[in-house]
Amino acid sequence: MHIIYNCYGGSHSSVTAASIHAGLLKDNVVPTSSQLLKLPYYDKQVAKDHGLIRYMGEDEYKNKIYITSKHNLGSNYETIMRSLACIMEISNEKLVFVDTMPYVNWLMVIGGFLSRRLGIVFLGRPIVIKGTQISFLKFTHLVNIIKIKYGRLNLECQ
Amino acid sequence: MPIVYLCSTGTYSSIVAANLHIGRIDEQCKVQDIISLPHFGEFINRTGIFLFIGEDSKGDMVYTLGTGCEAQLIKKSALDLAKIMGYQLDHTKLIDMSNYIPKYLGWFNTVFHKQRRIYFAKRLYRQLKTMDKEVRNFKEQGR
Repeated sequence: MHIIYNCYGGSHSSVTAASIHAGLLKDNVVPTSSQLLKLPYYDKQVAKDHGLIRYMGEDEYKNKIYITSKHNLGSNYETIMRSLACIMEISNEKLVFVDTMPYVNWLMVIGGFLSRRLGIVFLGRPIVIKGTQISFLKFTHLVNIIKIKYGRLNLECQ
Repeated sequence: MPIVYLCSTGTYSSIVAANLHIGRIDEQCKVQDIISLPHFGEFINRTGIFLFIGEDSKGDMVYTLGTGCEAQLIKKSALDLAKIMGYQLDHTKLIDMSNYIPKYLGWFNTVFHKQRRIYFAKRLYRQLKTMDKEVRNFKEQGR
């Protein structure tokens, strides 16, 4: 399985969720700011990176975990990508798209906008980190659902 | 080789370009010919639907796809998706035609629901020569 976590800019919520899934963060402990900043791509992606699908690691069920950004496409992103997969004759069954936007809080939105869009990193970064810490257990919850649903499925396929 | 023309809904500039590609219309066509194209102006709020338009003279399948205002982002994602799935994207061509229609398409579709097809057909008709040139360039060099 290829599990692709996606959010607006591919910098915060998708990176956090994918990191929990890939085992880069413990799922029961809220990470510190330095732990978050050590994550690959966390608060680092810029506009030209948007749309790129980045590899984050592998889970215990051998699923490959990725992140990407989709701007304001919402659930249309998955529809578009599945349509393209269909045209390219890529197996849709091996693709899982996970939208992390429902778990994004206002602090993450404001901090992410300041840091990534406006480039005011010294102001935006602490805000987005605080927001990520507040929503962390929600991301954990999401990841656990995905792991149970698709992890076992992958084992059954093998 | 699948050839996919992209625009925001997959039913305006991409439909015209795809039909230019397969030769159903040419640069001499009239506004009415554009309005009469199958699927022209349909699916105004359904991004992500792909439509099979036909086969070109070389036997390649020609499609259109609606990508909202994010055709460039989708092109990058498609390239990476192909890579991670071990597929050669060289076998599929994505051509962005979204610059031929304005970004206010969404609200225009909603507010001027009845007039929208005629309005955009006229607008695309005025750009037909440029579109035809782009399609011809792709057919000659892009493959």
